[in-house]
Amino acid sequence: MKSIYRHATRMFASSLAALILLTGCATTNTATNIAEQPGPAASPAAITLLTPKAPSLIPAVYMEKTEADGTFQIAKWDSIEQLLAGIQGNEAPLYAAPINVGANLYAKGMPIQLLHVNTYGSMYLISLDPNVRELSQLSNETVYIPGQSGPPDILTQHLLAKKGLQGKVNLAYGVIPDIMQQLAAGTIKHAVLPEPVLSGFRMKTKGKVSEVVDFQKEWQAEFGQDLPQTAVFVNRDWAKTHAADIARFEQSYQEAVRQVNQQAGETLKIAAEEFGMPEAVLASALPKITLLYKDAQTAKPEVERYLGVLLQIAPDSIGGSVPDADFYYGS
Amino acid sequence: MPIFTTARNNWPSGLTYLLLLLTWEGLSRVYPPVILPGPWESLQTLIGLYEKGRLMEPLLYSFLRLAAGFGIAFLLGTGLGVFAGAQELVFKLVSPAVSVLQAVPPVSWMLLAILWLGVNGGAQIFVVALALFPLFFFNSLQGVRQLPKELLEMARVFSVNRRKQLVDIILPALAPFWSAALTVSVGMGWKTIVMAELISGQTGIGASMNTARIYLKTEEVMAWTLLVALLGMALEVLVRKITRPRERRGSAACDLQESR
Amino acid sequence: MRFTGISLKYGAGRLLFDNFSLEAAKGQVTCLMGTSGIGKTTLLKMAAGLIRPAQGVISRDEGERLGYVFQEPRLLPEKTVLENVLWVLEQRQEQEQERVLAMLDAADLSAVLHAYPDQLSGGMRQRVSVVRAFAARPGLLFMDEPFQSLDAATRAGMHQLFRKLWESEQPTVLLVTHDLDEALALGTRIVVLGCRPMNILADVTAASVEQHGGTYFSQADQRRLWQLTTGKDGRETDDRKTAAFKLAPSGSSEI
Repeated sequence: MKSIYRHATRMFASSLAALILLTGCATTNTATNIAEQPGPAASPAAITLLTPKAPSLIPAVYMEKTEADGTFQIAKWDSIEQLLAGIQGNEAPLYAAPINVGANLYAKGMPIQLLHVNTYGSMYLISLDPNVRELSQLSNETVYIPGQSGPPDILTQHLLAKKGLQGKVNLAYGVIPDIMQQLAAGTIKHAVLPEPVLSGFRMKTKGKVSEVVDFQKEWQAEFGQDLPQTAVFVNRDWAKTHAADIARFEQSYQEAVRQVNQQAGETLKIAAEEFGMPEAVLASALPKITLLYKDAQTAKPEVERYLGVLLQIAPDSIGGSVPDADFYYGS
Repeated sequence: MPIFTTARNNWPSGLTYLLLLLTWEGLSRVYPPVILPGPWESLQTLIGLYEKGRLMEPLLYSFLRLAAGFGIAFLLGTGLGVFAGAQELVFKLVSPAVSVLQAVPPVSWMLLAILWLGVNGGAQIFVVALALFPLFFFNSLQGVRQLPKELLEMARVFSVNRRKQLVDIILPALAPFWSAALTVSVGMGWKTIVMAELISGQTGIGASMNTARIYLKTEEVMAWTLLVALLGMALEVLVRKITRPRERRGSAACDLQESR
Repeated sequence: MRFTGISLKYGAGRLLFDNFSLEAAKGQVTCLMGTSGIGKTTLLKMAAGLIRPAQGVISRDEGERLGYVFQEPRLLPEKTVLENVLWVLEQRQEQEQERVLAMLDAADLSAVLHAYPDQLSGGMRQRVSVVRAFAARPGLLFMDEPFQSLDAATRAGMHQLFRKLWESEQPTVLLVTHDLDEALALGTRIVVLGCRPMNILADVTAASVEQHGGTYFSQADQRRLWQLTTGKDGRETDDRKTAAFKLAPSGSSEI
């Protein structure tokens, strides 16, 4: 009896040790596999972009449609944990993400570099009260913001501080579906919302939404620069051996942005399906979304300015410091 | 020999904790800290949170919410449970509703509570109260159903007053059921509160965890997790200690002989 | 204490009582005998007000205190022997405590005053239950086969205790028993009950009541009761002789 017990314990301990070793090895193996993907095998292998359901998805949909079969594909992430797992598990070499998230990941030692910025602004503070045109009119009112401590929160706080309204306007937090539902129910009146979901709400209320702040315009007025929001990042190890693939992807994505801005057409229908909203809503949202391609080196001053503002208000949101030059691909 | 046996009996669970810690430490060495921070790092982060004064306020908020939700659930649950145990009609009316209540997952209540009460309302308290209510209800019901009728009959014949019946027969009979309900529900309520705050709160441990996760501060998420788990276990032990009937004598008294 | 025109059905329409009447005289020990399952326990519970008859009236003296020795001891598990007895008293004065202690002593329970029920033997628990009933100073005491579970020696001791206690308090007692010896030893009146519905087969009053609670029933009554409670067809002489022989010791011990 005793010996069986001891035997079982030893079995358990050794299998546990083996498991730890195995998982450890497996992770390192996959990492090296991707990093050292040899030339001949690389070209037919598809390049995957891991992207959230944000405007950056629209050009990606265009690319998936127009690129040669099987060379480019899209995978989506919803929560930050999914993105982390995707990077850790090498599920894709390319990731679209909010710039502050990328900077944060970089600060935490994840092997990523910023390839290009593709979405600017596209965020608004709206009110159901048609008389509200100015932020100052919202004293003692409550503005609902999706996600505490995220860019919408920080940028709103920045704006309030700049206009001397700090502490005069109340801020409350929720998630986008709840905020939309409460706006529709009329239980709340003011909110910060990103496109394209905002347009869905505009359509529902038939244009009774008063646009109080266009964050892109405010930013331009203050700094004379665009307000960078979303970027595409690349796995640094993968990038070292795939310069040609990256160049081709960059060119295609830039072209896709141009095409979408000019004539979205068929792309819009597929993208609308991905977003889970009617095509008409996405079409009406497009003019409110600033899709703009700037490569890493071009965008660097804007990104640094933006991250600098985030650092001042919420240092933790970018990992505690503005990233160094190595953060930008092609340096 | 007895000492040896005791040591052997206590040893396995200590070993399990040690193995868990070692596994955690081992895995944390394989993965980057943002994916899995190690035990030591998590503990240091926890101490750091305390030193920066960011620990006590969320803790207090969560505790107050737990206390409020717990109190509401206890009062309503035991009240209705005792009532339903005594009156068959009340049981038939109320019990299906409570069963339905119990089947609804706390997450659904959470989402609905935010809609009904707003983000700033007592959504978290509401959810905890609803999650724990059925537990108190059914346990009180069971307790009342299993009251020692013979003793109550005896008390009635001897015209013993109501207060003495309550204190010496009814409450002792209900105590084990309440003890079970309290022990289970304090742990469950604690976890539910944190989850509710994570989904909707702006204050409390759950909200702090959410901020930490958005900022990718996994070591803080882990530190809070550690704290919630340890406090949950401590609460359960505490409640069990408080509610369990006191040991009144040793086993030696058992061999009392009939005195003739 | 009187039952008048009691009727009660049990479950599937089985008639337990149909217009049943019985009166128990004040200060008497009325023993109720009869085969099991005929409703003797139900009769006691009705008398104590624990069960309500479908029809009929149960009359007791106004404000009379009740005592009850159930078939099982029914002690509070979380209380000691002494606490259990004191629990049924209205006030716990020093005097009361002394009286109770004396009664417990008489019942040979002095050694286990502070023991809990689950530490006692079945016989000891039943004795505590008897002491509790007497300690309550009942005007009316119901006893439902109180000594059934005891061994012969303990039972004899309990009979002595019963007589001692009854002598000092003189309550009206309704005692259900299967044991004719016990009924003859303790009762001042013996009622043999028949069943379906309950009826009175025999009602015998003691020819004399001695001091210290001893009773004496005439030989003819004893024989009749013996026939009724052991077999109705009238036994052979041998059996009767045995019965008389059996009765003799208990009879002589009382005198």
